[in-house]
Amino acid sequence: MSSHENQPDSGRRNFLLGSAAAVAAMAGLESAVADMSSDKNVHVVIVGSGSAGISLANRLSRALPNGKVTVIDRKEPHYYWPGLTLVATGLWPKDKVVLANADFLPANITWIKEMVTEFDPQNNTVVTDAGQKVKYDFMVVAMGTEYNYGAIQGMDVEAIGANGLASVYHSPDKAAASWTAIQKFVNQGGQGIYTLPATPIRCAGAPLKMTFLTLDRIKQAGTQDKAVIDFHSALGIVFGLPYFNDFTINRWKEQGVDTHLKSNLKAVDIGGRKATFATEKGDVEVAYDLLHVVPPMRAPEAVRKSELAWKEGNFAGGGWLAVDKGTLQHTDFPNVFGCGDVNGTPRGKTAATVKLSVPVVQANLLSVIEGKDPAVIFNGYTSCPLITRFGSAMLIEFDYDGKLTPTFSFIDPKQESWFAWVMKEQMLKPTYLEMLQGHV
Amino acid sequence: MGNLNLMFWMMIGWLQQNIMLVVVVAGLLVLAYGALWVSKRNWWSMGAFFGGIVAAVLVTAVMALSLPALTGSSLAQVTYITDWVMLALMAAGFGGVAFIIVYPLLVLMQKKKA
Repeated sequence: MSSHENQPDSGRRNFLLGSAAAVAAMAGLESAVADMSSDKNVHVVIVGSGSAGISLANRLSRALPNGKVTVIDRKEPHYYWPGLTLVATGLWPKDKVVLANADFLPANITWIKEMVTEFDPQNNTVVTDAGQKVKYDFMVVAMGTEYNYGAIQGMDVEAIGANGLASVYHSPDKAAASWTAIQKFVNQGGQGIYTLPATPIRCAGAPLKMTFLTLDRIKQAGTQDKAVIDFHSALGIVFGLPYFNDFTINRWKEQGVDTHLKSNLKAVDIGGRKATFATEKGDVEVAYDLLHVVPPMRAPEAVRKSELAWKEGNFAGGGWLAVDKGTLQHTDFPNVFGCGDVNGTPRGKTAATVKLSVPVVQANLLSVIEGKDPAVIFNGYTSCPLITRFGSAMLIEFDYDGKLTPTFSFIDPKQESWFAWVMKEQMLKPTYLEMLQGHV
Repeated sequence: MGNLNLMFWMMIGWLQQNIMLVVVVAGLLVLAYGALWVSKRNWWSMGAFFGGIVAAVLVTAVMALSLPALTGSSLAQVTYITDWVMLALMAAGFGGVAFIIVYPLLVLMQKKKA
């Protein structure tokens, strides 16, 4: 176990931040949730140091002045996942999405740099891969998602970047390698194939953005007559909201993209550049020059194999965390909450989901610590800045019911817009960094 | 209030990400107003005010034309009313910054009254 010491950031940045916090407090801009606290002496364990884990660690370290907060996760780099599509399409350098957890975790928490391998919620204990048993009074599971590349026969993540194989999801390194493969395809042309699996995935708009941006790169390179793209979705749709699903398929049709529904990537022959899809008519083998793979996803093994996972229903297959979709409290263990990708709740998750669900978890956890029932209800908010080409995007925000819930009423979600692009390319990362620090 | 909070921290985050720009502007302001203070001139000047307005309008116009390209887009992709309004506001913001930098310099350039 190591006590975490916050890495001092630039003095200028800290001064700016301190001044901003003071101005915000004076102006009454801090939210009501941020003001909630408990003086109880409790131990809260946060499993995972992704965006949800870090944001909660910052908020809870302030909200529990007499409590103890422990974060368990070995990962030291922090990836800004929403930027990976821009890396994999050549707009951003890889360095722009690689941060350090140490820069964002608060100084007054304990950071155990090990991985949780076992949950024992009956005894309020987790076990790490180093064999350490950590007891807790309350726990937040924020372990993210597991990329199950292994479910695609013949897939090898080490091969991403070569032989026309791309995958934006794996990591910043592989996103950058994917750009190498995509760039070659854009310049030389051939058959490109983009895929979408049947499982819930992180940022469900990313496969669509990758397709749109590759099409724009082809247009920029002037190789439309040589490069052809097909999109294979394992589902009957490509996006969860009908308007945007139809918009995307129709726009692609105008751009020469054939969309194949209920066509699930089953196997890949990397050397032979052939992909096999399971369809309603049986297996279909397709030759390709570029294959963009989106891996099936599931809950991390420790959750999947624990008592914390759904045992029945839509989310049992992936072993997702069994939480109430409104309160985000575990269905069986009231001292356990879930946040982020690991939650077995409807709709895809993004960093925007984390932005709005973290305050819900904070508020409900503090209520439970105080012996009350959780009262704040999460509406399932998620957001997808759907980039339709470089310089234009649609800022789509919606809830569990698929109802559009724009944060700013003056932004029309159904309108392709320069300003939505500016929000995605310029403003979302700063907002994300503020969210990590528990400000937004 | 939630939206105001979000916008506030969004702007703070953007300023942090562009800290060099903030430092340069702050440095220019300290230098310009420091020089004005040391010169013991009258801080109000109608001529400098109108000169500052001209500079602000020019910078606003230049930024309105160039901001889309500077953000990896193009003027052709500024397509509907929100885009135009936000582009105008952002350009005007740069124009406002230009005004507060240029104004003290114009005051300093004027002949000191006996």
